[in-house]
Amino acid sequence: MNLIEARSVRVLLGGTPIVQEASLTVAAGEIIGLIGPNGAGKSTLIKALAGLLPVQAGGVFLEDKPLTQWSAAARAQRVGYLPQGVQIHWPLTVERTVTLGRIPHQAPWQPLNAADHTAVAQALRQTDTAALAGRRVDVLAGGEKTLVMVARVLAGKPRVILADEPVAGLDPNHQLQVMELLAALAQKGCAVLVVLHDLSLAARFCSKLFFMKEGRFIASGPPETVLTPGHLRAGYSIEARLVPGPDGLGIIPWKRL
Amino acid sequence: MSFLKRQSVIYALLASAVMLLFLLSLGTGAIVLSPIKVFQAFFMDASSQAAVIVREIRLPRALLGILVGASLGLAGASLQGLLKNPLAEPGVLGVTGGAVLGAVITFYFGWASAFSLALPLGGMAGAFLAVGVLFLMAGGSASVQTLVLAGVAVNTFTFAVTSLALNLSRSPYATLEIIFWQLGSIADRSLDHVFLILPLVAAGWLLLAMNGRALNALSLGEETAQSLGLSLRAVRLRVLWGTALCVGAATAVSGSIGFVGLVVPHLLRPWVGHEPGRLLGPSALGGAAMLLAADIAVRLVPGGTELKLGVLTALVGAPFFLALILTLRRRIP
Repeated sequence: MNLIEARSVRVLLGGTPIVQEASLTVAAGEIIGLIGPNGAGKSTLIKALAGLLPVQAGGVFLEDKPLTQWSAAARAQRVGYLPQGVQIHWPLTVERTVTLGRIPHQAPWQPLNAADHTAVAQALRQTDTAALAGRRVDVLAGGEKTLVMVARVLAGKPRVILADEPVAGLDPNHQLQVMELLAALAQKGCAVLVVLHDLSLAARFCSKLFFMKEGRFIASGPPETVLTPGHLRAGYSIEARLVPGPDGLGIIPWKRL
Repeated sequence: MSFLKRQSVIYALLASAVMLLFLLSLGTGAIVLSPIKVFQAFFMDASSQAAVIVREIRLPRALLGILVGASLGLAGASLQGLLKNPLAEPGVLGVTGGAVLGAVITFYFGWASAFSLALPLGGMAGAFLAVGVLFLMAGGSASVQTLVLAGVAVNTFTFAVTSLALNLSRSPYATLEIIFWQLGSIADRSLDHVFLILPLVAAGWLLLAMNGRALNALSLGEETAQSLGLSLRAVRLRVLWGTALCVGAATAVSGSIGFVGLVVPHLLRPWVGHEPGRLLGPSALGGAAMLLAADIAVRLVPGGTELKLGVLTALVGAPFFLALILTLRRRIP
């Protein structure tokens, strides 16, 4: 089943079309990469899929039902959104931050129940952040903060995960850790859509890529067919060194055109 | 200590403080009464001296201390959470300014002396007018930034009209009255004042108390809060109207009392792990305790004229706040 789907989606920001005719589907068990230059409309598309921006034409479907027909709470239980960068306005502890991910499952005045505690503990374990549980988020290092934000999404037990540049600013080890985590979640039946700028990670971890430029998809399909010299030239205006290996393709951006 | 347990301890401590200060407030003044005497006064003949002092003079004052203080604390914590800014306070939306203006107008036209409830009614009308203007200017679905900017405009305008009333006032007596009322006080009020504002204050508290989860979610930014299934518009409307109802009604009776709504959430925030939702209840209790304590303090200052409550809260509050900021700065780089 397609967990989340965009059908010819068009999104305007301030009257300017940012996303046009975008169609994609993410099924359970898939991890799909969204690539393209800055300003291509990737974040806007992700936000539209998360129901945070209105869609002017076309439609977004969650479990084959229009997203607009879902109640806010039901949508939030199914779709986890990981925004670009880390925003925390108060110095909460790691554990309390991750617990915020349980909000879609809680009734307004209800105290935390056993399911909430289990989900939070599991999310901390999955992201290797259990040891940080009592620390304040504002004093964590960048990589740790990102993992905590991922844990916050996981605590909500979403079936669809929309991650906007989750590995931006992380060291190589943390980049691999986050990608392995997303891949493992897909393996467990989640539908994962992830915005990436690191093309090697996109090639290695994603089963399918959508290459976006100026609001439209210029290519889509398995990584080998999308990350061709021609597409890289058309999309990024770069030349890259393609390093084929036995377990995936390495891509090193080399020259601007 | 588990989170829930810790929270109960905080509530118990603050509630006991409010209760103790409430009793002290009933016993303190020109004639000092012991807690036992205070208790007895409630069952004495209504015409006896102690009964008059406790039931007619000090009880309205103590009850208003709780209503006004809790409103300021709760609204301050709510606005700081909504705006994600520790510098926000109830006056930021222009509600206080509106209430002051409404009250000043009743002074200016002499209604206040003709009819005792004209003053609070005028104040409440002013507060609602201010919120109405805020909505017209900023619109129902306005961003938080637009709301704050509109609040600044409303504040400036109400201040200007209040000054105009002072400027044009022909009797120096009315001018003095206006100035003194603006300084803020809960002395010499009656139970009528309490009953007049109680329903509005209670409605405001209810609207504000509903936002705990939403304010917590807002710690992660507006988009994430929305992705967690919350309606930002509904939260904004509840905080705005809740503040207008309880702070507007409170200011209409007490005049503007500064710093309580700013300092109390600040003081208590570390106690609740900086969580904006968990700060609401403690801030309401803390605000009540602080206002009761300040109102007891003004009675203890020696000298002929009693110090105005708003003067004391600002006089003590501002240096205290500075010291607090400096210590926090030192601890967290």
